[in-house]
Amino acid sequence: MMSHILKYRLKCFFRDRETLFWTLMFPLILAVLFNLAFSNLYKTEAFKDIKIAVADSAEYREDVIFGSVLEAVSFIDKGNGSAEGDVENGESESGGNNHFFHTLIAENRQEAQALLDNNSIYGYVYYDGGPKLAVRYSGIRQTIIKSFVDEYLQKSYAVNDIISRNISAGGQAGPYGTEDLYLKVASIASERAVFIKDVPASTEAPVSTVIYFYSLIAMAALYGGFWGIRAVSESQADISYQGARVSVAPVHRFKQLICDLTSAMIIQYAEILVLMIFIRYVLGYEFGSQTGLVLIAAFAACLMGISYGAFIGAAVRKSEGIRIAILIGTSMFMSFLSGMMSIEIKYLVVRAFPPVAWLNPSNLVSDAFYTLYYYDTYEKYYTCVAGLFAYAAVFGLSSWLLMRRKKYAAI
Amino acid sequence: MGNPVINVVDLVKKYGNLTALDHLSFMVAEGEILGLLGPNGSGKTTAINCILSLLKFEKGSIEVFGRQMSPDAYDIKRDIGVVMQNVAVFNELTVYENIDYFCGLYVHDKAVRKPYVEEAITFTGLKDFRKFYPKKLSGGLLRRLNIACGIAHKPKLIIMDEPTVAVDPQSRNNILEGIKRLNKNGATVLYTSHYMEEVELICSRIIILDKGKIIASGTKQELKAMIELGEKIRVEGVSLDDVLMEKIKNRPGILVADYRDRALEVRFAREGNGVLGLLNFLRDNGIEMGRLYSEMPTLNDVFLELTGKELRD
Repeated sequence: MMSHILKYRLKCFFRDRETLFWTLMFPLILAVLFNLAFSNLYKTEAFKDIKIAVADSAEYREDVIFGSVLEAVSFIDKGNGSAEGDVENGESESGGNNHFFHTLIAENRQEAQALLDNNSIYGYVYYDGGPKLAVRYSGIRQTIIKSFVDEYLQKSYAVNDIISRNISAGGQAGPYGTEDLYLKVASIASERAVFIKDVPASTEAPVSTVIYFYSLIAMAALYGGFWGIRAVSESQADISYQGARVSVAPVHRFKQLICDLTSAMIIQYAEILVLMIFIRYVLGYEFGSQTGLVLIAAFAACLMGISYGAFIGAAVRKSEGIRIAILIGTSMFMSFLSGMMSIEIKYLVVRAFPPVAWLNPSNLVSDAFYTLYYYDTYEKYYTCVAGLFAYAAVFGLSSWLLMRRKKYAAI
Repeated sequence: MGNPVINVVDLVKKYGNLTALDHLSFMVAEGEILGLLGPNGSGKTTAINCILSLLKFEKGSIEVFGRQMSPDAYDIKRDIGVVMQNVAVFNELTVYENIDYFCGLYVHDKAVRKPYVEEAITFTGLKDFRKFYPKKLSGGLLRRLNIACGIAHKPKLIIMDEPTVAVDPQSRNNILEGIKRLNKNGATVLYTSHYMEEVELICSRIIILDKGKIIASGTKQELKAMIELGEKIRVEGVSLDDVLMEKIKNRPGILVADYRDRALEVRFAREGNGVLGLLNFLRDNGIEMGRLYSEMPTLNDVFLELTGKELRD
């Protein structure tokens, strides 16, 4: 008999176009809109090296230490310094490397100035009693170039000072000669590139845009509550006519409810998988390489969403419209807090109200996916998934406790 | 009277301060069609929901097939068919699928169930609509589907709660004929309605409810015998003056006489027949007569006399 109920409930749910719209089509439409809105953001998030130039001169060539430090952090373009085009739009040839700078060697200061004037570079270094920086505007990239030059100058002054004091004191420069010492300093300075480089926790590039899509999946999972509400409503005699008819049939209420919720779960899980396949293969956003764990997270999210809807259906003894309004309102609010509308909100909640972030089911879903995508450790993933299963258990148990009565005071 | 199929004893049900069923006791015998008649709010549906163990009640006991009824009494429920007042089907399932689904809750063997479903479809005249979704059906066809879902598993007891509400006369006749056929095939029927014509037409015994109490019960003849009213006649196209009207009112056996728009309406007492005498009186006074209508007392008249109000509240 359970297979009979399951078969027909699946048919009912599969043909329920209105709920299918909210649980499948609406998230798909939002995914497309998100993709349109965030595709540019996605591109600009990748770090691009900064185009600069060095004005060639005798003084520059003599400063071998600066040359070697610059080489350590740059892609040196020894072409001819004739790069053209807007730096904002120009793709660096060294894209994908870990260089800070794409450095052109200009023949002289005039040529470097010309490159700066036509926006081919953000700034250039020239020598006039030491390295000097010329920029046209102020901005993040210009600040990075300036910090690099300033830091080089500070370190070289410090080293010069130590060496000069050492020599004036008649001491030896240790096992190294003066030139060796300079080169050692250059080597240390070049390690700057290592100091300021992020040490990745993952082999994946950190793309915050994916969080929007993970939050969208969380919202879609919570929208599974539509199925939960329907399943619960149609098994209660005081809420629906179908519930009354089913209640007078010789079927155990628990069996009936399990069949209804299983059907709901099957439909909802299929919908979430369709959404995830769409996001992965049509829109091109990754979920990481742990497919099995991704599927488990999706399953936990669906289970949480269905049981959340069942809980609303059992606890709110109002009209269907009110129950659906509560589901949509709370789902959207939880998704909002987990960063679906603005990622800054997610960070704000994590910083200012950490318990809200831990307790927000939508946040647990998006964090579970993000952990799988970005981190190489699974501790947080397991915490999130366990949280989702715990929510499903609490909502499911509460729903059953509210529904288990067999007779009603009024119908 | 056959064995009791339903036995309700001293049933009391309250909604807050409102007493919906006030020490209600009645019995439905095997093989009969018992009509529960009463205006809206009289307690008909509440009584049915108590019998089906859907509602809690304050006092009383309910036995079905000689056993105490409870929500877990699946062996009893298996032999009951319920046709709810409201259409309770799934809009996403076709006519066939709806009947098969609800029948399947009672009959688990698919091979046994299939002919049952086909029979219910034929019985309710839904053969041409088996692949239709409920939204495509008219009100009458929906009601028939509702009935088919309730009776497909061939129950011994059928409880019908106002199954013909908002149904066109043609479909209503079809439904009523069907109920009579079900009864003829052996089913006991408890039928509620506020349409006295329906109850008069199909019920072998009638209980009249008002404010949760039984105010009368018996066969329709027994009920009509409880009141003083007799035949009512209406004579159209007559010209009467006040003197003649006064004489008519004073004739023996006449309870009420009214003259309006050249039509005379007279209600006689149950005992004796003064119709012929009245017609002779009119002829003797040179009164020309047009059409003549005669009407026996109805259950509405019974209800009116017992409660002082119309049945269709």
